[in-house]
Amino acid sequence: MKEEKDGMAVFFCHCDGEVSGMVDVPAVMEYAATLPKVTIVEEHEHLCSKEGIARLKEVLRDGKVDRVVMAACSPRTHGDIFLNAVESVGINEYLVEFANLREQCAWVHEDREEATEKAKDLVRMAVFRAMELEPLDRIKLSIFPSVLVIGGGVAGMEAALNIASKGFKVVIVERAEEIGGRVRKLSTTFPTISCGIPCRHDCPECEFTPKVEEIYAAGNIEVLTSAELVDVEGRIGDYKVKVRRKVGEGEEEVRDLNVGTVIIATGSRTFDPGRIPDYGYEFEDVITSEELELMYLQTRKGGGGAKLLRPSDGRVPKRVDFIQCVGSRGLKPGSNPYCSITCCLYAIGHARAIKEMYPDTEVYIHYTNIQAPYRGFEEYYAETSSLGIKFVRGAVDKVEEQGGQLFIGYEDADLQRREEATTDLVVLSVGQEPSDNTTKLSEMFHVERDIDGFFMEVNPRVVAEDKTGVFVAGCALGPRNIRYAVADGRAAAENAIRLMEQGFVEVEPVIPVVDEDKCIRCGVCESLCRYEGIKVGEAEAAEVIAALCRGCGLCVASCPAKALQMKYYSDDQLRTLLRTAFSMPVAVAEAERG
Amino acid sequence: MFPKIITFCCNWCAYPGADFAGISHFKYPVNARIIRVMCSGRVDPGLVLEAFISGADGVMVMGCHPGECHYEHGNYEAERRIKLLRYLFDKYELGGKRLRVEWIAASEGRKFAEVTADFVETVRKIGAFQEKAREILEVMKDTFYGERLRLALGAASRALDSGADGEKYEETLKKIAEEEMKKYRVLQTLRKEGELCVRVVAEKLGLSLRETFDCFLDLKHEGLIEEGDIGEDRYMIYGFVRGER
Ligand SMILES: Cc1cc2nc3c(=O)[nH]c(=O)nc-3n(C[C@H](O)[C@H](O)[C@H](O)COP(=O)(O)OP(=O)(O)OC[C@H]3O[C@@H](n4cnc5c(N)ncnc54)[C@H](O)[C@@H]3O)c2cc1C
Ligand code: SF4
Ligand code: SF4
Ligand code: SF4
Repeated sequence: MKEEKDGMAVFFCHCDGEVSGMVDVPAVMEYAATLPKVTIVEEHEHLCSKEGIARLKEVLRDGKVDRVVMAACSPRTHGDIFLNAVESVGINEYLVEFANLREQCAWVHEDREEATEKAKDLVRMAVFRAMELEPLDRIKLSIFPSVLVIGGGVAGMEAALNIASKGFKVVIVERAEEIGGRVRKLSTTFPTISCGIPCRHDCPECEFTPKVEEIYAAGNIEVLTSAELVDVEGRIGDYKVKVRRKVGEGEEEVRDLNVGTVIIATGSRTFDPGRIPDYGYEFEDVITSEELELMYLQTRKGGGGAKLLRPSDGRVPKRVDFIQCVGSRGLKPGSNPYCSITCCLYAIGHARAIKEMYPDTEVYIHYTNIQAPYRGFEEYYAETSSLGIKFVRGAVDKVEEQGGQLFIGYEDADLQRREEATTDLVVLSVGQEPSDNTTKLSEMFHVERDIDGFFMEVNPRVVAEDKTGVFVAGCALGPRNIRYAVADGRAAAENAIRLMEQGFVEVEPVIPVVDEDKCIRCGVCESLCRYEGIKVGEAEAAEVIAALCRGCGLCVASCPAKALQMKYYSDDQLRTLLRTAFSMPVAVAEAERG
Repeated sequence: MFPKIITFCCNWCAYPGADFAGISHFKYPVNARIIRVMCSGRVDPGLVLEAFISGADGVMVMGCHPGECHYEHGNYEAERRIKLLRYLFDKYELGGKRLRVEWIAASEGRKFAEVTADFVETVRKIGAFQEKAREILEVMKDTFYGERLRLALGAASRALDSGADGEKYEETLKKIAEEEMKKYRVLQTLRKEGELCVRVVAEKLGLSLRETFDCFLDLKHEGLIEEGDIGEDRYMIYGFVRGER
């Protein structure tokens, strides 16, 4: 019983000689024509080119085929282009299979004959699997038009403003008592140019006022301070979130929110130098950059602008030593391996400020490598040196206090000697680490983290495959300066806006199906799935939650009763690949002989 | 061509890793056929055995590095299964080194090529399967598609998360697998030879009467065999594959 359209087309690409240089394409084509179901075998010099795609469409439009094999480059290279072309002529994209003749054959072998034989195998595997494929439709999920922004630092604020300006509703959940994040705790920020927030050096309230006021002024931004997430349920496009919030002394309320997408902008926390004994953080006059800021802000509040007074006796220090890379760049055991990006520029800025306030105070900066990827930075650095600030390359190995006097021991690599000196104040340029709730949030929303524990930066290609609707911005992705954090906020907002404007998202239908008669309700699938993609009731068979399932197939390979089958990667399809990997499947071979 | 290798590659790390080997023109032998799956955790141990039964001489499962699995922990499940398979392959003298788990990052094209070349060599040295291997592989396949071992495998990560001792759990898995192997060998014998009594099966398989008897009982409980006639002593209970008399 032949249907009208039940043939298969196999397209070969020479890739301008990249494939045909090592694989005898005509020989493989000849072979492909002998395979069952194959009715069309076509070749092209350059299939992904405009003419190639046009030819592909033309052949498919005229041919009576419903399945396609692309014997060309890796599906990861031009897969999308070919799939779009195939769909455009009315063939379901899940009826397409690839034979990776370039990356996994022509480019990795040296013997033309061997490579050609392997290519035949790859094409045979693809043809037989293609026969087993079934048409699938993408799953459409609606997107609820509102966004949750977690963390109200510069990144979160920028995201919120961008989204609100498009008319969508935003809720900012901020753990602290007020929004603003780290920048609120900085007395000055560097460089003062185009960081996204105009800094007027002396007045943090002022520097912040415009953005914060805009947030409060926007009708569609709700700000929940002293608030934290306690629970999340749902899927991309439809999250139900519980937020616990302090309202007055000892009182709390729990708010339920319904949002479609989420932006995580929880920033970072600074490294605790107490973890590395060398830095003498236990002494009163050894402070972190954060504490330096606090001191400025406090003295300023007391009236008369910022002052630098040492904690022990309230006197202006005659010598200040900045130590760079504290807890960063793997300098000492216990520190993080990466560079924290902001601390160099920051220390240089403060060194200058101190010199301007107290020209007689000696300022040293101990560094191993100055990191500052800015336009105009070189000039800034040169100018700084000319102010009499001493840059000393080399490690600090000792910070001690004896009889109320601080001593610092360090290497001067340029002069090739070790120095010891008395000093009045040591400022530790502490690095940044993931915020303490990063693990919890990453688990709540199933967002990946990188080796250093920060949220993973995703490239645009992966954003297209994203099944979370959760985007991350700012220092939650790793240390960066204000201007980059702000840019992240904008990018995250764009992703959320795109989804909301579209109103829906289409996700892959590559999910398991349950054979209810076979399921023994053992719960193995549910316990293995990290995405709540499958649920097993007391009395009902397992049920797949398409919106949450990521299609990994772990449950399928683990189901004790073999009650699960995977769409697009079924056991039968994989079995077919195994059986055709080295020769014709037995049944077919016998039929041919018989 | 010898040896024939099947390499399962996950979609996120290993498959792009293989592509990267290509992009970098790192050469490796033609023996391996790559099968793409979304996650290394998708690779059913039963399918691995089917690969061997279909003619493969070696099977590799490649996934993301620990902690970097796109699906968080599928690679650990893959590792657990292959480790158990390796143990059984060694025990039944099939050569545990025919199985391998490898972590390949998307950027590790060189590693992909090197590991593939090395694996091909390793399997070449082990040589082809012996005549009797196929029967053992079939029994092993039944074992890994059987409910009991799959329940134990599937419950592993939950047990370990709630504090179970990893090494002990592994020992338990091995024990269950071995018991199941026995059971399915009995079943295979009955399948092949029709109705037989416990005593004869025990002799044929070199098992004790008690062990064989237990296998009969289990198979009966699972509805795989039915009880036939009863002979002179209690070990002369006959069994035959369900519905085949
Ligand atoms: C000491 C120091 C000095 C710096 N100096 C400069 C400089 O001079 N120039 C420069 O460009 N950059 C500087 N930076 C970097 C700059 O501070 C960051 O780039 C910027 O603050 C990042 O903004 P963000 O919004 O990502 O994070 P943050 O500003 O850290 O904001 C994160 C917000 O999220 C909130 N939050 C965290 N967890 C939760 C949760 N679970 N629920 C709700 N809310 C939560 C926090 O309370 C905070 O308000 C400096 C950094 C440090 C550490
Ligand atoms: S920015 Fe400078 S001080 Fe900070 S970790 Fe990097 S090199 Fe060290
Ligand atoms: S693992 Fe299989 S048998 Fe167990 S509950 Fe899930 S679907 Fe049912
Ligand atoms: S395929 Fe993966 S994500 Fe989907 S339900 Fe199974 S284990 Fe969960």
